[in-house]
Amino acid sequence: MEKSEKQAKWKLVNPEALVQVEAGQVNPHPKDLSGKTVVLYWNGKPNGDLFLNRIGELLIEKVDNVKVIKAWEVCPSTKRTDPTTEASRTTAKELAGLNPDLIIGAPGD
Amino acid sequence: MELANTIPRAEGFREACFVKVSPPIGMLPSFDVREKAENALDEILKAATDWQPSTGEAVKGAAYPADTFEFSGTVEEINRHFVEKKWSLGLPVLPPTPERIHEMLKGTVQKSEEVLGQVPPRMGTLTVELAAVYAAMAGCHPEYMPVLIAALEGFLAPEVNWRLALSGTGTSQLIVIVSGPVVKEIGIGCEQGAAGKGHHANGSIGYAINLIAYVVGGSRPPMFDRSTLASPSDYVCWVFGENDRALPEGWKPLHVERGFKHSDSLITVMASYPPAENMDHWSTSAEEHLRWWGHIVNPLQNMGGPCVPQVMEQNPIIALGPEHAHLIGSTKWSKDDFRKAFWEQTRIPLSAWPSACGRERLTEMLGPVTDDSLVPITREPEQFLIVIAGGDGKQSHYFAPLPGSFPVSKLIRR
Repeated sequence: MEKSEKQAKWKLVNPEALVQVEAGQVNPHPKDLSGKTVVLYWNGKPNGDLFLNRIGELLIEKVDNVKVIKAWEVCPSTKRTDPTTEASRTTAKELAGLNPDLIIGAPGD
Repeated sequence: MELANTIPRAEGFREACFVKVSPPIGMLPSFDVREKAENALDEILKAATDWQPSTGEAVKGAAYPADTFEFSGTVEEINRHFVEKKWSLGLPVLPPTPERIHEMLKGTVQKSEEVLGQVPPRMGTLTVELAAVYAAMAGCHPEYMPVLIAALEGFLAPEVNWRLALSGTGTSQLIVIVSGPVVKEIGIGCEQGAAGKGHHANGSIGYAINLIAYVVGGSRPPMFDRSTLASPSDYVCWVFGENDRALPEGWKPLHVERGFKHSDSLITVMASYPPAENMDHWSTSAEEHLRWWGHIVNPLQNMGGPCVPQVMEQNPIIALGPEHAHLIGSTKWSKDDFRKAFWEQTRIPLSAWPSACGRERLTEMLGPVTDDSLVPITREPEQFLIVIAGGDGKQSHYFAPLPGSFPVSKLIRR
């Protein structure tokens, strides 16, 4: 630090921005997947479908009477990388329309 | 995970349930992807049935007026404090004193308490007052405020896809083009070296925009900003004016082309990848010059073609240097003639793409295709946005839009 730089008492404006959040309610996860409907959600990124396809196969093998729905096949508009919060909400509504007990998504690269 | 949780948090949920699978998933053979799924299954099943969500808590408060606080120390110590609090990007800022903010707010006709919007991904509330705080920190002059606020209003429009620009792995660039009388009136650089050093208005407005983007928006590496390499543009974004004196005869300035009056001043913003530079020093005709473009620009630059066909609906920006614009204008080409030639020259055969991209979505858009089909950057030539910018030299620039980012224009209110 420069010796010549002066100490001073400052009044400063706090630049921290407020983040307003509404309290949300999330449905509980099922305790057991037997007989439940699992929706697989792929956002279109490379190989996410291959990953979820294998997860779907394994769920059917290991869980009794599980129903697996591939969202991108029955509702192709969900196969997109949502550019905005509004678009994410639209996708969430479309997925909810498939009446899942659980959704498994693969959102990364 | 932290980035992934910002979205549920902004929606009022404390957290979502994640199972982390080590990257990559893309660019792997299918056997490897299936193996990763098999290895992750137990953890996915456990998460599916053991994890239970907690209810998020509402966070309320007043975004205006901003709080003040006392600080004892030097300017350097203030800067260190701001770095520790994540209120800056690590480069020096001026202390945001109430007096500086008061002066800055004299530059705008908009009310201090006006909420401009929520900056993603953290969704921090941005008021006009807070914009003035960052303008002061960046060293802006009060007369820059209308340009800064218009640019922020533009970036906050959903069409710009600011969220992806601030959090994706790509080397995103925020672009601000200023056109109309304000360029000369407040000294926005539009000629030699317009987007670079020495232009105080461009640099300080660009610094203020990025302070707001990355501090109010909360995006910083490695938790939120996932840029693979990033660039110095994370500190100061692109701001340049339209050089309307160099417009070829008959070409309209950008703001008029976008439906505004000659006397209006406008900003146009978009998020892009780093520009491709055309340094053609040799062509003596527009046709030759277009061939040069055809070898340096193509649809792969923003995952177009069969990868993400939706980007064909977007609007790449071509910033023509005055000398290249003069060459094109001397051929008596209109802007639309240039667009059409550019569109044709920059098509490449479908065989250029990896087979993993698939073709079904491209077929939906273009009809049946073969390996030899020429794939354009945009669906129609009219989609290219053209601006004349810069000074002497044989350099032009092409900005490929980030997926989902469209140019948005806003009137500058003074």
